[in-house]
Amino acid sequence: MRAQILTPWTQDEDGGNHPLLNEVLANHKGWSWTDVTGQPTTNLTPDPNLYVIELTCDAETLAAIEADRRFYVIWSDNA
Amino acid sequence: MPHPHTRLRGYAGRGMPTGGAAAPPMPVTIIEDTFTDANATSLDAHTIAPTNTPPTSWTEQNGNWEVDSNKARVNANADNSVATCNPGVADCQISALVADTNAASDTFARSTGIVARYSDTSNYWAITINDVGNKFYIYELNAGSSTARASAAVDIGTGTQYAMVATLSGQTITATLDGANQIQYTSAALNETATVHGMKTRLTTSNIDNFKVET
Repeated sequence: MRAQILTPWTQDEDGGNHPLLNEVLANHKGWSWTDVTGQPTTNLTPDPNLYVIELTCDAETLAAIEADRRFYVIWSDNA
Repeated sequence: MPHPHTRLRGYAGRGMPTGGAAAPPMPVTIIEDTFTDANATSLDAHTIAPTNTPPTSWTEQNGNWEVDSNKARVNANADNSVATCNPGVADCQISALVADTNAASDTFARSTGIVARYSDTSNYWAITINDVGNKFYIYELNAGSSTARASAAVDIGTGTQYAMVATLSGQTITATLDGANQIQYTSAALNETATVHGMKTRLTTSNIDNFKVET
């Protein structure tokens, strides 16, 4: 499956920026994503704290994301 | 404008090539370092070999780097330990054998891998693995702030060597691990023309070998 997903940013314990979606993905395997917003690091802002990633994953992983109201699936296909 | 009956060279009929596609140019190795040296040789004192054209050398930007068992590592644990050299090319393919051991947490500071387009300790790209998060990353470090720009789930064996390849082409960075697990970021504007590349780690138990830069 391939999907574009709106996710908030979050910070790890060292202050690094990660997609909050990692919390869901940590329970799954076989995925990869890339940031398609391309927002410069210096412009990452808390409001709106959202960006878009393009995710490749299995159907089970996508279903878990769709069930989590913190994320919004913009589109998905079977590619 | 060619004569209407002139057959364009290399093409027959409706635009189909007849002679087959030209073979892609062979990659040219600029830097290859197998870190063959006496144990505890500082990376600053180590000569890049077997290929080093034009000649460059390692600079320990952060952390104390040395050769150990013909691999590069740090001799004291330090977050974001970075060593760099200057092959003189911004668009290139960088590869290395990378082993991450006991990263302790899934963060940029504690990951091991390739550094690309380095300008200073606060600005560069890093392609890394992390054996706690079991992830493969493309990270941007910009003004000291790290951002994960692409990632893939990969079961990273603690201490296992992986063949990491990063291809830099304009604002596109593509990376693979063991020839698979491809990740890519296409808006890599930071330091687009920087020609300094290298490697990054945190722990003495992690290591990097066979560092190579090709065009």
